[in-house]
Amino acid sequence: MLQAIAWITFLEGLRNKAVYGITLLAGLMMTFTVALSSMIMRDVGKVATDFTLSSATFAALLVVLFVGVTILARDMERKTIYLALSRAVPRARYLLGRFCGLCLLQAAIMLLLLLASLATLLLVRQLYPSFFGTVSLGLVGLAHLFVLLQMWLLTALSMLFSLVASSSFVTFLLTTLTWLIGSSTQEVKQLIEASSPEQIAPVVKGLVWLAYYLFPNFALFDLKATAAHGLAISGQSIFFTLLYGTGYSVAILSLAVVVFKHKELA
Amino acid sequence: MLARGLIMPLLATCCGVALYLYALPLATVVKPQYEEQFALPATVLRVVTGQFKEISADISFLNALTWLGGTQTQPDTNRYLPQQYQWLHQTFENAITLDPYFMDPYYLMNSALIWDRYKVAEVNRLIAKGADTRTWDALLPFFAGFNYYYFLNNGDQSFYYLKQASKRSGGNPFYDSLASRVAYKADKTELAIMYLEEQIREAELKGLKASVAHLERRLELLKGIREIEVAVESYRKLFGSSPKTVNELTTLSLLPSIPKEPNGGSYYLDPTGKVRSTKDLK
Amino acid sequence: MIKFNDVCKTYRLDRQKKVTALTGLTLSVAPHEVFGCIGPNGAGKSTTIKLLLDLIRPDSGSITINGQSASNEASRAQVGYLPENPYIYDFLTASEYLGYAGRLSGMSTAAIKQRSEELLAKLKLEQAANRRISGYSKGMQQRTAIAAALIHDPELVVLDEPMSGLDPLGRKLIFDLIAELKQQGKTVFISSHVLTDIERLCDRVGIIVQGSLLYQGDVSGLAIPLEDLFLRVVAEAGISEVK
Repeated sequence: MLQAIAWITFLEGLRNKAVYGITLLAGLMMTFTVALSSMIMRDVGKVATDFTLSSATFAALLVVLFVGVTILARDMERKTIYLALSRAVPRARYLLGRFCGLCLLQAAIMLLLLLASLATLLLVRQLYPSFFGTVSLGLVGLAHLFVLLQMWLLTALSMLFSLVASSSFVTFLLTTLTWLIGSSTQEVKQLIEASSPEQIAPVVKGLVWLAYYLFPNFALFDLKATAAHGLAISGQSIFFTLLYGTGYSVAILSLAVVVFKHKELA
Repeated sequence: MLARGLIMPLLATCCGVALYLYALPLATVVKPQYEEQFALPATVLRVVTGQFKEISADISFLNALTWLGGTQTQPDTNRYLPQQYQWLHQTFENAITLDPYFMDPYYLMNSALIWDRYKVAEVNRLIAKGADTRTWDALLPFFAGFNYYYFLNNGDQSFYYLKQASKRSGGNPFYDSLASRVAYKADKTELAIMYLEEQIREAELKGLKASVAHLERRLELLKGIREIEVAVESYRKLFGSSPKTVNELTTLSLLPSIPKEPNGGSYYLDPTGKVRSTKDLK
Repeated sequence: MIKFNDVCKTYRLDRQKKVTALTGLTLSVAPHEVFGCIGPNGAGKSTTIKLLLDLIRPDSGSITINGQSASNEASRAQVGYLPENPYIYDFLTASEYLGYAGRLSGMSTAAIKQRSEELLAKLKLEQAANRRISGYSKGMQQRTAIAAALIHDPELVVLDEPMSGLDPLGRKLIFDLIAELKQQGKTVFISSHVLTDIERLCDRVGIIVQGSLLYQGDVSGLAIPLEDLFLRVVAEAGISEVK
């Protein structure tokens, strides 16, 4: 039953025209990368990696915001959700099924983006072998995976938001803001910690600390610099990042289930 | 309590006022490109660009690169204007703040700013930081080390970084020989010649024709200076004082002929007895 | 089969305004019975159905299906629901939609195939079965939704305005379908404005006005036409607003 729900969600995403627009956009951005590489003098590989990974992140983000949020919002608005909930389908299972379907959709698109990225990078390496630098293609793959995990977490959040927001636009806004804030909480926290005590009021410190723990820390999932320069990455940090992502997702989805169970679908 | 129907128009009014107050000063003065740099502190940029900071670094750098490619130096001084250097400095610094591992800004900082003698101490400090960050790279410690000696007379830092360059390049003898010359407080012009020869060799390997031509001109200049310096030394040994003009050296046959100045200027001796060119060191 | 016991439901529109949808509704539908639920617009018919399906929750009172509480999703295993003005996933074809509906009810692929063919034929959707629903007319969408409600051969069929959007041909199809369900001994709960169909199909009828069940009785025992009864009951209730 969960598989059926996940599969239908996946199909809904695939058959959404926005997906084609987004993948086309990503493809264009990657082509642009090759042209851009000719301008850079020394760190060609790094710049190419930055562009391909950033394109992938941006495309994946668009999928969450414009496909994922739409699918959830439409289900509620058009009451197509009645089909499942008027049967012996527990609400939790429906929600999880939807979540799995969206994750599957993200994974499929990310696979495509990864292939495009690798193709682009291999081409750039072919064209400018001595300037490719210390890019690690293995880490590029890992970086894509981490973008995917990040989007899974964001999807869980968007589901929670869609259950409490009054319109799909509000959901879209909340999700976007959460992503933006979550991408910089780590940076701000480190800034605050590095500065001397007199400069920052304790209230500000407290708020930053709170924001850091409340909002998802997406910077943990950003491996762009690591992949672009072939920097070292510890297994420990990978493991704990995965653990963090899992814990946070479980918390959010459970909360979403609670909200959904009590929601009136008039 | 405001009636509900008034809140939106009032809000719109406030937004409109804020917008025109903001736009007015910007609209009245047309600023040249290099003055329109964002005054945001670099650390705020990191926060604002979030997960796109590396690509922002790339764009910032490309901005500087295209500008360099299109802008001419002042015809009389062969340099840019002070605010143009300031803008370049700011742009490069933004790029390396956003991505401290990015090589190109460091490289250009060295060639465009250091060799034009713009805020050498400050800029070299950034290059040294870059050398500390890019732990696998031998070129940056080489630049930093050379600059510390040639421009800043800091033998200790110079030696440290040149040794780093040697270590990271797997014991390249060139860096080693430079390091040892620094340790023995060798003549700077000689060091600069070695430096340039290495740069040219590297540029030729990578097929960077424009760079090679530029560097070769600089090398020729330094070789010319060196030639004259050697003649000046001979003069000092003979007469115990410094000569006044370069012609004196040729007259006394200490110098076979005055070397050709590659930028079209002429060599002269400054009051301290140093050999210089009328077209400043480029 | 269905039991509503003293069910009350109030909607909260915003901080101050409340709308009472149902007051002390007590209603029961016996197994194998075809029950017709009629009433003016906004009387609470759809609310009653949504409460039955646990889409909304009562403020007080209890609702059971075959003895199981409506809040337990297992109570809906044998329920087929057709919402009023149904929207269905327009990115699917009718076949895919029925396949999904079947899988939601735990049917096997073989069973789904067999039932789909049967229902698509009965509802004259075979030609369009492999076209995307986005290209269907309103009537075709309605018929697809009905098919989905019946795919798992449920014991209880809940139809909210089944004739809406259908042309006379479509109405005949559905009418015959409901008659067939009756023959098969299914329990059917119909909410409709088409009083003539209610008269012809239903065993019992209930009239809901302003959230209360003001009349219930056998159709066969009616002395006057249903429409007249309806108007009389509504007049007695003293409604001023026609929604």
